Amino acid sequence: MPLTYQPQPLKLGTPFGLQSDLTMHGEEAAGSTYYKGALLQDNDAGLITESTSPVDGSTVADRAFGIAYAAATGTTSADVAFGYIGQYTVLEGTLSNATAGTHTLAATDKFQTYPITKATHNWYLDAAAVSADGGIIIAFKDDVGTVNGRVYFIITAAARGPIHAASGAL
Amino acid sequence: MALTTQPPPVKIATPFGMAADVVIHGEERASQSYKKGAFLIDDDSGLIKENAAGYVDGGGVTRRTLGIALGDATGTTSHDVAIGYAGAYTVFEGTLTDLSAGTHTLAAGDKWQTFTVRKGTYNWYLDYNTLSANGAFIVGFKDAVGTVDGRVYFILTAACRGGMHAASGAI
Repeated sequence: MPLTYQPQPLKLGTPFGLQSDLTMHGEEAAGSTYYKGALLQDNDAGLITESTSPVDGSTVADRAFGIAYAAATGTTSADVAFGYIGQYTVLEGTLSNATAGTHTLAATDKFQTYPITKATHNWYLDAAAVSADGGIIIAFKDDVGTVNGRVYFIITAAARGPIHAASGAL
Repeated sequence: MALTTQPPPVKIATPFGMAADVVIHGEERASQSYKKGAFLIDDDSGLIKENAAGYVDGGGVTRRTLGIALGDATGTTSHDVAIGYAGAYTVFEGTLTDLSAGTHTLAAGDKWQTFTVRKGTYNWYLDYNTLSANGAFIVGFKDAVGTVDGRVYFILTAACRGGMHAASGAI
């Protein structure tokens, strides 16, 4: 069953204990169509592209090291400003369920790790599949009982990294 | 083939997102002769020494680091050692060259790749010849594409950050 409601985009929460957001710059890969809040990675040729869904660390392509500050321009090598995703980067996103269509936020969702999955445009945490790696929920923005509530999460180590084959996590 | 030009030292570029450089202190091991910018590790006996393997690529605990030297070794056992801590948000600046070819011309495709960090005669550099699973993850260029032995900004991947004790975990 598809999602009943398309999620709002991911965004940076607070730079956890740091002085500021961690902004990096890259150059856009050809054919990019990602939206603001998309999870990003390199293309193994020096350019920035959207990560392969889901981001769960299962392969090097299923990782990310950035979140897009703006939608892709469609222009190859255009500047890409992105928020670097590190150990202390807290993201905000929607916890939904690709199988059931929606998910009602429950107390037991906290500190669980879910794959981060791309919907039509935006990315969300998929409660249908508890995962070894992906987004570990550290807090709720919305109340327990909220349908498709917003949560705060950190991306686990194995899901943070570039695309080069067998490259290590960050 | 040896390096055509010996690299300048590695240094800390920016404490990414933090208010200040992260400096820790240790005590110098006997007979040290490392230079400022050298990658350091403990000796599993409480003292600090240069990474003797000559590699930072996470290929075992001896090929990791705690950080870089903020000054040359004094040669005095147990002397204070100030270390620029290598954490997940420590961005270093170093030279990307090639031990096999002798030099490397900086290319756009070098960005976001991970290369082994090696020791030259005195200073450490990124070796383009050894694209690595772990080592220096290039996050930016200081010099323009096309520069021979250009300076780049990098973060050490997680598996390279750690102490010397056998089987100890990465930091």
